[in-house]
Amino acid sequence: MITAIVTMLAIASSGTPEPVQRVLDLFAAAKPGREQLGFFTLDWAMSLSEAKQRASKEHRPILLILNTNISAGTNFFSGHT
Amino acid sequence: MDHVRGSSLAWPESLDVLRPFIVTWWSGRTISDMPSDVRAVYDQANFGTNHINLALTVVDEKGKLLRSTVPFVQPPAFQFDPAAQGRSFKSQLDSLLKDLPLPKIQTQPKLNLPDVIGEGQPAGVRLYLTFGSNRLNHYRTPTVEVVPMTDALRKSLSYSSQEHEIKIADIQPWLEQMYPPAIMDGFGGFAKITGKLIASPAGKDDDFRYLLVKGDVTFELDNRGRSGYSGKLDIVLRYPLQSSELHSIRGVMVSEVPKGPEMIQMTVAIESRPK
Repeated sequence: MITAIVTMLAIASSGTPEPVQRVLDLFAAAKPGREQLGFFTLDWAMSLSEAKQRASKEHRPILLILNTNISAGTNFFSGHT
Repeated sequence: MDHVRGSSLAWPESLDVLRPFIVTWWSGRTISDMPSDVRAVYDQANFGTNHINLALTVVDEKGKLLRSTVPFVQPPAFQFDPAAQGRSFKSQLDSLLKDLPLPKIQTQPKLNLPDVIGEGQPAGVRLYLTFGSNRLNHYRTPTVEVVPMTDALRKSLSYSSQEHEIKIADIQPWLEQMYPPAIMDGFGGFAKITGKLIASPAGKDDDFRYLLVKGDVTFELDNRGRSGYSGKLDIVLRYPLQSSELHSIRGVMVSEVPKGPEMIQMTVAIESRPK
């Protein structure tokens, strides 16, 4: 409650133009929160080569996920084909 | 593989099991496309030469295979229920890792998002793609992409006190990231992207002045069915009061994308990095 009041006062006092604030609010609602981004709390390396270098320094094992797709490879980290 | 990202790997208990690991992946059209170090792991696991949709391997720092499995990840077998898929995947992970000595990880998990680092400011944009609920529970983990900023784009987005058009081509690298994952017959590209974007002065506050960029964008994917969708784009461009150089960006695009017989809401949040 206090946080919400402080946030509202901050917005009111900043004088941000209303049409701008409306888009900023849409952005804030669209940006996923940490609870939706748990997948990105894994310790990702972008290649097996990078993972091996880090594993050697950090004395940790590697989980290597292998996937074949008919049309194109998938970027497991970002999520896109 | 969006079910693997969204319901299996992202199952909270699976995340906890995987904390000791450095996680990486290889994905391609066929196993013959594997680079030699990945192929060496694949061969050690004796997976054979047939197409394998998904395989998990545990290797050491030299690439020596320690464990391997081809997990059962079939969303229809679980009635597309993410909890049932998550529990099954966790159970398969437990079997894979049974009695494997693992280091203890003491630190709290950190968010490790794709990011862009560069000399100019902003260095680039990060885009978060999230999707509305849908019948088959697709896209439960957001897709996050980054696109570096070029000097040409910074110039194109510099402040003007006059209403003007922003060419679709100027922000095409951003728009090319605004598509749903797992288009099975797609190649990750577009046949065309069209639309009209207008930038208008939108006032100022104590610290910044603003342009608002608004418009509709139409996308046609490069898949065999040439799937199409349109989105409404709203972007705030922020500038210092005494400069026309771009300071930072926030924006959103809302669309509905086709997936089989359904239309699924896709929302893209756009933020400049690092500011």
